[in-house]
Amino acid sequence: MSTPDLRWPWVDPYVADLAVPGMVYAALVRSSLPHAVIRAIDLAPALATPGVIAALDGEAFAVRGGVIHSSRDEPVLARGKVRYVGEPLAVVVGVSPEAAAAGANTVKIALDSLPPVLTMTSAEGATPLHENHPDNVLRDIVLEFGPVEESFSRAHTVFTGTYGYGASTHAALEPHGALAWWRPERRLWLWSSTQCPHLVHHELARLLALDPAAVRVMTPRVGGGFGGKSEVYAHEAVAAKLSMMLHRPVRIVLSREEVFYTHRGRHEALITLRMAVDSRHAILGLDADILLNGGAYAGMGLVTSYYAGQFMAVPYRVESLRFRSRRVFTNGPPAGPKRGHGSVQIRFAVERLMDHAALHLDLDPVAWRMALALEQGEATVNGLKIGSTGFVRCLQEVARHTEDIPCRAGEAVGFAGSAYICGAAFPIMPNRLPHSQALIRADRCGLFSLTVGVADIGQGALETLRVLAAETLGQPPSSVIVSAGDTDACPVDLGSYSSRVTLMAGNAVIAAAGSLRRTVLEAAARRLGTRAEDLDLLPGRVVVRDEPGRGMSLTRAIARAEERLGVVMAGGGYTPRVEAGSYPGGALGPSPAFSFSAAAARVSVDRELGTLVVHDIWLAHDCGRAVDLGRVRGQLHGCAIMALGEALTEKSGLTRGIMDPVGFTEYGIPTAADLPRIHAVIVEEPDPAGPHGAKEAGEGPLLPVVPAIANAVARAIGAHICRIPLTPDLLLGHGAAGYPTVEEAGG
Amino acid sequence: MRVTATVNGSPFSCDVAPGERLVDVLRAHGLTGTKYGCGSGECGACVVLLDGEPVNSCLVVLPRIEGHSITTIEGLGTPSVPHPIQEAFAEAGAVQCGYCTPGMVLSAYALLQRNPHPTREDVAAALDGNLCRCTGYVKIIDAVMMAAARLRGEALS
Repeated sequence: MSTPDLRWPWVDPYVADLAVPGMVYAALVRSSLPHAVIRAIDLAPALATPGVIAALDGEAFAVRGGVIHSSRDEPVLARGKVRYVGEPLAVVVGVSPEAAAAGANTVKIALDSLPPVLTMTSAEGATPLHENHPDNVLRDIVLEFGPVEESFSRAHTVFTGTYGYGASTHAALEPHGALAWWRPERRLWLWSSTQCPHLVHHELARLLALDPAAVRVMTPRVGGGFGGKSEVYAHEAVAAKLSMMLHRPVRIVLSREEVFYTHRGRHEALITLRMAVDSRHAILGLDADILLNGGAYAGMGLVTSYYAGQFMAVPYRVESLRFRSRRVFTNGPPAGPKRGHGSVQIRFAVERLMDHAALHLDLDPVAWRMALALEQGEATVNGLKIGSTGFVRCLQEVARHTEDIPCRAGEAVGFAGSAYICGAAFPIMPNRLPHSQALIRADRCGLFSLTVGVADIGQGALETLRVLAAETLGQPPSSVIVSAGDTDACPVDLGSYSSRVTLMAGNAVIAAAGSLRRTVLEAAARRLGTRAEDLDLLPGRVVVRDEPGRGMSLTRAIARAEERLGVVMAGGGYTPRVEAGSYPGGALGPSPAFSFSAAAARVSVDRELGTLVVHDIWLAHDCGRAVDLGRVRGQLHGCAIMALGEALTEKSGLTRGIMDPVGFTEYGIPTAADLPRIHAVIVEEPDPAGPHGAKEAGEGPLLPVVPAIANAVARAIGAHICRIPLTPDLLLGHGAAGYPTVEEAGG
Repeated sequence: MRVTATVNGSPFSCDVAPGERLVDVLRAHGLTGTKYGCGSGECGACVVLLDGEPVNSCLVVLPRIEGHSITTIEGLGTPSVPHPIQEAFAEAGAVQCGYCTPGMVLSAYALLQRNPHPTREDVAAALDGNLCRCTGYVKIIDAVMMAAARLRGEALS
C-alpha cells in the first residue's frame, strides 16, 4: 500500500475486498466446549457437502505456533485437546463463502469434556491446560530492585490496596482476514490484515516448513489493530496451507463473533500493591503481587507478565521495587497485547493507591506527582533510562486547565500520570539486527520514493514517515511518496507494536534520507565547482549557501547524480543502542525513549441510581517533537475514548465458559453520543533518541485516563474504587474489594 | 428471484437467492466501499442510503430494494469532484483506519439533507449508529460541522 488520498479511503482495498481469479473460500470450525479431549473429528460430511472442495483438521500441522520462541504452545488447529470455546478445530474450503460455511456446519466433532478452569483465582491447582504447566502458571516471575525490605522498614506510612482490572478487547472495525495464493513458481503470497507482516512472514514459514525466502506477506489497508492483529493466527496459516494443497487462492474473513473469540485483548488482572512512603512523602518502595488471566495460550503473554511489573514505578522516583507476576492459564480465548500493553492494569493500581495516599496525607495530588517526577538523565531503580521528559509540564497543563472548575456535591476532578515506551529495545525474535530499515530513491522527475516495511493500521505511520523524509530533504511532503506493506519489495520493519514505528522506522527513514541528501548535493557540488557542505537543499532547488543566486534545480541535481551513479538511492537502518538489565527478563522494559502523559477527568456520580457521567477529560501528552500536530491530537482523542470505554462499559469475560459478549452492542464501545468533552494538550519535549526529537503518541496517552476517571469517582463519592470497569454495582457501593490499609510507623 | 432497483443512479438488476443480504450483493458487484463490520446492524460500516435514508445493508434482504433507489459511497461525489463531506473528512483528520468512513460519510450526508444547520449534538446523535474505534469521534464531528457550513455556503472561521 501507499499513503492513500483520505478523501477516498475506501478505494484502496482491505483484505476482504481483494479477489484473485479462481479464488475459493475457507471457514473455520470452532470448539463448542471450553476444555475437552478431542475423541474424533469426522470431516467426511463436510467433504460431501455441495461446493466443498477440501477440509483439514489439526493433524495437517506438525508444529505449534507462538511468536515467542520459548512459549510456543498453540496449535494452528486444536490437536488432542480444546482449551476454549471458539478455538479453531478444523477448516472447510468451498467454492463460495456459503458453501464453506454450510460444510463447516456438518463437521462432526466428538469431545470428552474436562473440568474447565473458568476464573484466574481458581487456576492454580486446577486441572492443567498444558502438560508442561501443571500449576497453570506460564511463568512465576519475581524481580526485586533496590533494598525493598529495608525501604519498607524505614517507611513512615505503608499503604496497601487490592485492585481488580477487567478484561477488554480491541474491537477494531475491520475483522481479521487473509488471502493466500500458492503461486506456480512455488512461492506463497499472503495478504493479511496484520500489524506485524515481518512476524507473519517468519512464523508462517516455520508453521508451513517453508524457506522464509519462499514467503511474501503483503498488507493491504488495515482497518485498525490496537494490538489485536499482532500475532500469527489460525486463519492465516490455514489459508496458506490450503492454497499450497489446492494450488488455488484461498480467502478467509472472520465474522464479528469470530473476532471476539480471536481476542488477545487486555488481561484481566488482580493486583495487591504495597507502597512505602517516608515522612517527606518520597516513595521508598513499591511491592506488587500481580495475577493475570492469560486465557488458554501463551501468545505474547510472557511480555505482558514482565511489562506488568517493569513499568510500575515510571514516571516516578522510587527507591526500591519488587514484583511477583503470574500469568495463569484459564479456558478462555487467549489474552494478549492491547494498546498500552501490560502497563494499563498496574498504572491503575499505582495511581489509585497514590491518590488514596494523597488524601490520607493531605497532599495535592498533582503537586505530589510533580515532586516525585523522574528527571531527564535519571533512571528508574530497574534501569529504565529517561532521555527526555515533559511529565511535569503535562501535569502543569492538566492542573492549569482544571484549577477553576467548580465541583458540586457528587462531582469531582481526578488526576493521574504515566509513561510509556517508544518501542521495545529488543526484538520478539531475538537477534541483533536492525529493527527498521528504509530505502529511498530520487527520481529524475523530482519525486522521492520511500520504501519501508511498516504496517500502517490507521495510525498514520506512513504519513509521519513521509513528513520526516521530507524534512530531512528540505522538500514539501508532497514530493515524497511512500510505499509499504510487501515483504518482497520492502526492507524489514518489525511491526506496529510497542509504539515503536515513529521512533524506529523514523530514525531509519532520516538515516536513509540524510544519505540521499548528501548524494544529491555531492553531484550538484561537482557541477557547481563547490563543496557539498557549502550547498543548501531548498524546495525544488540546490543553492550555494553564501550565493543564493547560484545553484541549480533539484531535478537537474538528481539528473547529474543519475549520470554518475546509475541510480540515486540510499538506505538506512535503525538498531536501538540500549542495554538490557543483567537479570532474567532484563530485555523486557528498556526502550530508547519514554513518552509521558497526564490526565484529569471531571465526573459526577449519582449514588442512588448508580450512574456516572464523565463530563470532561483533559489529556496532556509529551510526544517529543510532534511530527504532525493534527495526527498526534487524533491519537489523544482515540486513546481518551478507548480508555473511557474500558473504564466504564467494556468488559470481556466468560459466561458458563463462553466468551461473552461476542457482539458490538452488548460489548459496549463508546459511540458518538457518549462523548465527554476531550481537551487534548500536546507537550513537546524532544528526545535525543527520537527522529528529529519525536516520541510515541499512539498508546501512552491511554494510560492515565482510566485511573484519572477512577480517582475522580473515588473523590466524588468519598469511597474507595478498586475495580475496573466502574459498573453501577460498584458505584452503589457493592462489590468493592475493601479499603486499602494504612500502617503508620510507631502506631 | 430477479430484483430490479436503482444503484447510484443507474439501473441495477440481478438474480438473488432467498435471504441474500444487500451488503453481500453490493460487494459482489464491485461496490466494496460498503464494508462488513458485524453483520447484525450494530456498527454502521455497511450503511448505504435507501431512498435517501441510511440503512445497515447487512440487515436488508434483497426483495426490500425492488423498485427503490440505493446510494453507496461510490455514488457520492466523483473522482474529480469529491463531495464536500469527503473533503471535510480528509481535511479535519477524521479518517484514521478508514474502515468506518464510508458509513460515517453516508450517515452524515443523510443528516445534512434533512438538517442543514445541525448542532454538534445533532451530529453526534445522527452518527450514534456508526462505530469508530480510532478517532474518538471528535474530528468526525468537526468534519461534519465543517461540511455543513460549506454546503450552506458559509466561509469557514
